[in-house]
Amino acid sequence: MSHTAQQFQQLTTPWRDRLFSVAVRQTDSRQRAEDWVQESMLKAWKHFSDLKETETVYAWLLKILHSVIVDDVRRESRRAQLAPVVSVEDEELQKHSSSAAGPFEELLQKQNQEQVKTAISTLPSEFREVLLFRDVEGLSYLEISEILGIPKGTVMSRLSRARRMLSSIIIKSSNNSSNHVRAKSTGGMS
Amino acid sequence: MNASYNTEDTKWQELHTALQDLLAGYADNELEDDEVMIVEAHLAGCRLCRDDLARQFSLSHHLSSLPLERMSASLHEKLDRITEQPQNTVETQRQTPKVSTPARWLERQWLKLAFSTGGWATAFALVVTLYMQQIPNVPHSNIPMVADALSEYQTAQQDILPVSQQLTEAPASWPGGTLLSSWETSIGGAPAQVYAMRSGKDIVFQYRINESVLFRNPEVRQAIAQQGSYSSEKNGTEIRALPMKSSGLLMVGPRRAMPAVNDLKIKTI
Ligand SMILES: [Zn+2]
Repeated sequence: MSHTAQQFQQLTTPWRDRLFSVAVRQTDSRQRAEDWVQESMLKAWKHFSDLKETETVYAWLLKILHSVIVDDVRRESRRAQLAPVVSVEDEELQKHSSSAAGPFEELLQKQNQEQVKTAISTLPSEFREVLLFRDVEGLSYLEISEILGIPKGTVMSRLSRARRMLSSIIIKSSNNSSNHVRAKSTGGMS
Repeated sequence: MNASYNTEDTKWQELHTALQDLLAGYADNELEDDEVMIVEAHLAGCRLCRDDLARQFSLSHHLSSLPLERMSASLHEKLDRITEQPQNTVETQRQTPKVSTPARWLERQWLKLAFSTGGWATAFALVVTLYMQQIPNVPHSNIPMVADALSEYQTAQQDILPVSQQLTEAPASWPGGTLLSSWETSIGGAPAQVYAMRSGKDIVFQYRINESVLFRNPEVRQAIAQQGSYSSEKNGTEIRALPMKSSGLLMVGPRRAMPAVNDLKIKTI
């Protein structure tokens, strides 16, 4: 194995599963997530020389993965998702007793991983991505803004809304689990 | 005073709506000090935002412990062999880091300049522009002054240029050409002044040189006598030499970035 190849493997192998984790939370098909990761790693290898000294390897890989996913999803469908804005006034949310701090924490503790995963998967992709990068992967706003090519302020507003949407999905699904779980994008509609 | 009460109320409502987009930043300690003060003042009087903030904290904490998902062993094996695939041809660039260094050097120059003139937005646009540039391979010449100018231009590609001195006006100007930096140098054994100009997406150097240096070479002398200027091109890099009132002008740059002769405005001082 050449020196470059060895260096590439050393730097990227530790991130493989984390990269896959991010991918698999953005699709319901593990196979598709694996395809994304494979394509991303191939791109990373081909463009290994683009990795800047100041850049962290993981952020660089996520940036590549992001572009692979965006390309793939765009190829497949062009459905324009309206950005749902859930405000803190969301009446339906207010009705639920578990929207208050303590009860919400309890509710979260009761969620199993599958439920959380499903809830995350119903978020519109641009909100889901920011939420995964920040809350699951622990990246800073600056890193996220660089990966996605958006201003820090946009990272913040998307994240605020993503968490609000996710809370609302979890709260609503807990109280009427027999109902259709999918979150309605606008507050007050049912 | 119903009217004034309503105005206050509207303002409060506006703030309440706007701050909802900052709550994540507050929870994550990513706000500026002044923003923190505004958010805290609002939180003190708004239960809805307090509840939302509490949910953001809980959720964020909860998500941080989601377990790692693991890819299949077969994908791991495929990735082990991925380095058997050919890399892109950028590999050649790795061995000659010249291509990326001038961008870095020029970026610094740009930042300094843009700070004094156009501020950050300009600086950003310029840096993006500069990263796109590709300086072609610089050729050699057996005319000493041309060789000197080329070598200076080449030095820029190796990132060891002197930091810009005060910006005076360049002898030649053209539409879309902006002066970046200027410093003293030596051309043909005599003192000269270099002016690094941005032209389109590339960099063009112009030199104010000693008149006797300009006319020293017979080839150059003849071209100037016949066409008013000397010019030559090799590997995409163009050299141009022309007389000014009491000195000479020498220009070096990628051919695509060189201004048309008619566009050149020369200060004949
Ligand atoms: Zn509020």
